[in-house]
Amino acid sequence: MAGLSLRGVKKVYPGGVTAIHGADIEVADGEFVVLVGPSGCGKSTLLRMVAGLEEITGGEILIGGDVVNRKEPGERDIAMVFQNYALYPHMTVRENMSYGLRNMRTPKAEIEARIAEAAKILQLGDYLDRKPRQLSGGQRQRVAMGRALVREPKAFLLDEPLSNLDAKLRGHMRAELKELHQRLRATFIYVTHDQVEAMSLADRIVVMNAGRIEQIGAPREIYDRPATRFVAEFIGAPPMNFLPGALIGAAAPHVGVRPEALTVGGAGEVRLDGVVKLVEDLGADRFAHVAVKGAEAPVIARVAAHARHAPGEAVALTAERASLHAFDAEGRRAA
Amino acid sequence: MIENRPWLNVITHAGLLLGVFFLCFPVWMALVASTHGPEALSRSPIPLWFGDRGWENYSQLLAGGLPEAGGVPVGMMMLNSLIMALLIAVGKIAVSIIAAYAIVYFRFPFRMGFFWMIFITLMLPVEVRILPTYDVIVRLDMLNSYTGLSLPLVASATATFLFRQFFLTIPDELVEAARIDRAGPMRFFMDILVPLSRTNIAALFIILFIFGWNQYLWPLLVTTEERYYTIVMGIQRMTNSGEALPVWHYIMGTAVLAMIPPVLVVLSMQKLFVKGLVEQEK
Ligand SMILES: Nc1ncnc2c1ncn2[C@@H]1O[C@H](COP(=O)(O)OP(=O)(O)O)[C@@H](O)[C@H]1O
Ligand SMILES: [Mg+2]
Repeated sequence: MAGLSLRGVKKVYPGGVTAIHGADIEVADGEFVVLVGPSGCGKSTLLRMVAGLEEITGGEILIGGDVVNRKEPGERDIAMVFQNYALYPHMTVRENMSYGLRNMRTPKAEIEARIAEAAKILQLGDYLDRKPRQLSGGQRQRVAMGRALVREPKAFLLDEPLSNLDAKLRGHMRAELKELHQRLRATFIYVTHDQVEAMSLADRIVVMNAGRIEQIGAPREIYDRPATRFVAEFIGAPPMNFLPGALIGAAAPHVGVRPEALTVGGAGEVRLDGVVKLVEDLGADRFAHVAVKGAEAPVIARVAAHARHAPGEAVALTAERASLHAFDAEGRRAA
Repeated sequence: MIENRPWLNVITHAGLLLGVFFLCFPVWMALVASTHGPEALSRSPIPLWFGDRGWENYSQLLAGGLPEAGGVPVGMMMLNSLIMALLIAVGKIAVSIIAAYAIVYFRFPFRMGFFWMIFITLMLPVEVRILPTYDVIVRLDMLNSYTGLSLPLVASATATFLFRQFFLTIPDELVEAARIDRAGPMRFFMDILVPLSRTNIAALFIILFIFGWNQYLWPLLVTTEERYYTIVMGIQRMTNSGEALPVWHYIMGTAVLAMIPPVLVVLSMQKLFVKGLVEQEK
């Protein structure tokens, strides 16, 4: 285990696409860092540069204090879990997990012990002699995790490891992964486009957009104080509402307010009048889409589960001033 | 197209049976003829059922030499053919899988140029380049040798192309996983690429073994010593018996024997081949 530093890391693909414009990230030993952003923003590129699978155009990457720019992936002492798992189809689960260790000439007894340990943690004991094609998606995912685990690497790199699973299994594996991290206290860098995964897994989140880092911070911090309008919109579902500042008498050009900060009726300091267009019932939560005069898009507000709002009904939405997020014309947070 | 009409079934089956009959009849005739004496086959009607000289004919073929075939024992010719066919099949597979590996996984100058050069040799089978190739083999002093018999036939654009297409379907992630697992180029090739290609290798082996076994023109040119004669040449020599009557019972016996190795190869490799098709790996 070790910490990781990215210093001014740049990536220009041959052909001229600049995928990363310069990234500075410090990952502490044992930290779970999630890189999150929309598809194509450069998350995979960044992770693959850390892994050594992609050449670094500029800047430095340090693992455990050593610059690894010129090192082969196998020499960086990292393990990677791929989106499609990349298990060797012709090898059994056991062979898949031991392949890297065998290449490093780890003693047989040691390999056996590590596989037994990983199999116990990941409940793979019954499948060790199966081939990947004889496993379900979730089991394959575990094997991919197991293959990383037995390496006892300085850092685990995961690229959208759960995105091929169905929603229910994804939730389950997410919890397992979190538990695994708490148990191992190893350094994890995790790439996802799913903000729910980011929020629930991360010690710290790195939000990326178009090859640039928008904000780095603890999940709560990112949620409560998004540094840019992009972060504010990307993190949180349904997303934050944006209104012209003038509409509520604010100085900033753009003001954001989260759906749960709005109440129907109530006695908030800010008031918006509108007409309910539709009500979304998600079981635990219920969201009303309200057309407000002067706002570009319908304003979404979380409403009480027992409240009955019909489309066409005129409502007043209110919020506290403290719950508003002000952004300047460039989309940066206005203190 | 799935249809279920009884009379259609009858017609299709009749058609298939007719096809099977046409395919099998010559084989049947060879088998029958090889169990008769020489006279039975020169008379009309020729027999359609087994005679009583099978044992005698086959033991004569396998043990002693036939004067009609230059006195070379059939067993020896079969061995020569086997060595040649194996060298060609194994050589072609080895060369082409390595060539495909280089072309798909390594970046070197003129990579695509080399690929197209290999591809163009598709238009140059041995029959087309037979004189220059013969000249090369003479200069290399390879007449009357197994190397001379097989080497000019070893390069294979088809197999290279087939392996290339297969390698291109292997996901990049797998290659990357192997890199992270510290598999160098040799290990990646031996531990991952070759095992994943084994159904391709089996299919190619069947085709190339038969291709090698059936070679006729090239062995005829490069061998002058009888101990390098191949079975296909042998059969041809037996039919060219000059003044004397062709020894049809021996010729047919040799033909039957010559069929055995390719049939064995097909039967044994077919299992692996079909298994590979059914258990498609993802
Ligand atoms: N091998 C490549 N060659 C050229 N451009 C690439 C390559 N891989 C990715 N890109 C480009 O780099 C950008 C970031 O890609 P990627 O890191 O895969 O995004 P993400 O993982 O966030 O979806 C995209 O615009 C993509 O088109
Ligand atoms: Mg990606």
